[in-house]
Amino acid sequence: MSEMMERQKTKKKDFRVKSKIFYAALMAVPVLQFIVFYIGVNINSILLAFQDIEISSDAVKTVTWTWKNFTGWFTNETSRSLVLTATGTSLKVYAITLFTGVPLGLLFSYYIYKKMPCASGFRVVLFMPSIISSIVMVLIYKYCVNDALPAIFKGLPKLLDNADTRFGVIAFYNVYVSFGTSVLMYSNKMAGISPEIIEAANLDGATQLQEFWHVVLPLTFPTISIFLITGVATLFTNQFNLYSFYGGYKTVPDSSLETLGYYMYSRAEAAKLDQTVYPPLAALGLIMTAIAVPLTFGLKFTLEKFGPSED
Amino acid sequence: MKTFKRLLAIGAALTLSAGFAVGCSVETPPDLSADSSVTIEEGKSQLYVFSFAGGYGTEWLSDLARRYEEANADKSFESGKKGIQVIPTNSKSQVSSTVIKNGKEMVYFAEQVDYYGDLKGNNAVADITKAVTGKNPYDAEGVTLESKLYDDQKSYFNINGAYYAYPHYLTSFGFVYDVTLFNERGYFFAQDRVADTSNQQIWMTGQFINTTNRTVKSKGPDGQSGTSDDGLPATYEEFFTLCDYIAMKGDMPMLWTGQYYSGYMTHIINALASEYEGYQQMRMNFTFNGTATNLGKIVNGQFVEDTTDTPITSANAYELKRQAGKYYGLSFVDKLFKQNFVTDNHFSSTYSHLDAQEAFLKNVISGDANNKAVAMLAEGTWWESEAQPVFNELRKNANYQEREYAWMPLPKATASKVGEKSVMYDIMYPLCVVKGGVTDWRYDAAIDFVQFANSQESLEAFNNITGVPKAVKYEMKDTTKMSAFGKSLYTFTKNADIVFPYSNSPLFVSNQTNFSEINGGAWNSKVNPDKTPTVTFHEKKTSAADFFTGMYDYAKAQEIYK
Repeated sequence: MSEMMERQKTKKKDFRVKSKIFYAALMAVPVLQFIVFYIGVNINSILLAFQDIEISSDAVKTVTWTWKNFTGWFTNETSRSLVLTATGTSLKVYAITLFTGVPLGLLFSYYIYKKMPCASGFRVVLFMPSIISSIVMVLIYKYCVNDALPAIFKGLPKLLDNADTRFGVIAFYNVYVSFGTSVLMYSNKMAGISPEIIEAANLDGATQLQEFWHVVLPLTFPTISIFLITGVATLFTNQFNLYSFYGGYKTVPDSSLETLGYYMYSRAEAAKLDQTVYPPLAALGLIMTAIAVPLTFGLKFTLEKFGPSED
Repeated sequence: MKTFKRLLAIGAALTLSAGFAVGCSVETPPDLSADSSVTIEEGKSQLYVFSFAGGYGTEWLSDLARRYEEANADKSFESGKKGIQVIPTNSKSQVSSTVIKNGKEMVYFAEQVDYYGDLKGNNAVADITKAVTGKNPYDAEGVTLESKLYDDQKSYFNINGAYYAYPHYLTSFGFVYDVTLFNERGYFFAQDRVADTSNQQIWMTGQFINTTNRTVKSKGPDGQSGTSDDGLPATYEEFFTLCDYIAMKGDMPMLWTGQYYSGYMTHIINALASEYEGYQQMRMNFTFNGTATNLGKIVNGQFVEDTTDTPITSANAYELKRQAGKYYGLSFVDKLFKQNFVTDNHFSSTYSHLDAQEAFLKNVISGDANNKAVAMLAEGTWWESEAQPVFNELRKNANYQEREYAWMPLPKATASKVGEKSVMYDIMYPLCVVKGGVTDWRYDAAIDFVQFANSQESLEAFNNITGVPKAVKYEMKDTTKMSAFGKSLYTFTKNADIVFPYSNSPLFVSNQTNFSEINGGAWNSKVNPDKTPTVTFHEKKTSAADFFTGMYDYAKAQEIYK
């Protein structure tokens, strides 16, 4: 008996060891990839933020360590004003996404979840920007708002070229393309709500709005909160699709259209690998990270503490 | 079942490992997507060549590859093989040290690269001194690649006595005009003109040639009669008179892309500034060494030139933002934007350079009911090559009559400047490099290929195919295969000075982007930081004078000058 137990114990132990080896082998590649392509790359960026690179007439690089890449964003009047303008635009874009994109996304998802008329077609239309290349989508949209609409409605200006309308038309596009993933996630989460709960609410006489507000929304909240938390980071990375609309930053008609994400990307892209341009941008990236991290954790804490619970 | 599971696990592990191995492989195969029909000829050696496929197209490289293969059909580059197969990779990707190190291509034709900091600084490129200074088997005795270089190129490409790059084609910006239309409509200035200013229409008509009493063309910007620029506007003032006259006759004086007007028209400002300043003064923007003779500032809205010259060093190079040519270039384009003929299309983000080229060639402007002919186009030297699809489409029509196009010398800011030598500015500084770190037969083949690509025969072939000269010194022995535009550009280039936008000054090589006209800070101004003057004129309605003053303020606040 004890021999059998011993054998079973050994077998279990063997299985545990083998499982661990299998798990380690399976995880080795992604972990290595994470170390190289995330930590490795970021370490390079972090180091770059503290470097001042000079190149001699012999093409020899000299690196000196400095804080000026950070201080430059505060002391240089031009840089400071450009970044402040971009921050303002980023906040505006974030607010639009938060107060327009999220509620509309939830309503569209609820519409699809309730299988109201043309719900499937609606789903396809909203998910289309996620299937079609963004460059193609932007091109279609550009010609539509700039050429087609003014041709149909005489007197209407070229909406993308007109200073009064271009922010609005770009914002509209951005809200529209943001629906793809969110609607898919929200509607899937809603589809997982137990029919009994909905039935009980209906038996209690809940209207459709009450059902949405008191039942569906709280049960979808964990998914919503994920979008809200990850959305904080987009405050610093969202490019507002400006590169697809206009290309490089010199072509963007007004600095007030530029978001922080676009500001950094477009300057790095225009540098054409002139490495002396990267250190200040890397420093700006670190400054943004220093702001984004507490903001993200703060929001996570707040949503978990004060957000509606499934109970 | 257990065995099956094991096999499945091994298979999964192998797949993952293979994926990882591919991701980490040192050399990635070249992108053959541009020509999927390429089949490797086993008996021959393969030489992979990368080319940035911009406005100059891909035909020149196909032709170069074919001729090189023919010239070396019996030569053995590696043991056991005879002949060579050149496999081009035509791509719009930016070439960098990383791309070169990871690529299979041995020769790279690229533009807008950081030669000192990135390519050489990161040891991605090979020493090609052997190709540049050595005997070229494809050229006449005593003719080396080095002998075709301009002095500025020699000092830039030669680092510590060795060459790591060689110039490629010339990229300049300016005006192209429809010679046929100018002839048909009489858009050339006359030598003897009507002086009566009491009637604007009579006066204007009296400035241009006709078939009766004013048949002799004016001397043009070069101030000499009997040359190809006769009858063309010699000064800014004449240029705007010409625009008014063309518009009065019911044609469109000039088109440019609305989508890229920001960059394109800034290139025009830069070209005008170079034209005004001349070679020596403009070169100082890269060498930071010399005496600036045209500096000035705005007083009561007018440009007032300094009474004394200013010695320029790396410590005060921001003073060059006050060059007179820069002010005049800015005011020219500012005025151009305010002309009555300028429409929404000129600034429309959906009106591309290809749309403008098509309208220019077809003389049909989209949305224009009056069917105006287009007299001039603001474009780069590469436009004809880029517009080939439109030419091909037009030539399919049996009734199509070939038209003549030509490069227009830029007008001078003032009458006192007429007769001064023209200046071209090489915007994109294209070059050719060989991949570093390879010492086998591929290096020798690449060196040989670079020599062949820059031999007299290949320079002429490139010029004939693209209509644009290479950025080195050579004479076309046969110009019969060139288009009219190609001939005009070639003649113009031969008689002009060329400003290459680079130097080996530490201030330049450590801050290349700051001094770059294209995508860089050369035209930054405090009045609208990080935006081009053209965008500022159009969007903010800022005056040229304010923008000019802001350029100095912007540059002076930078900490790079020391």
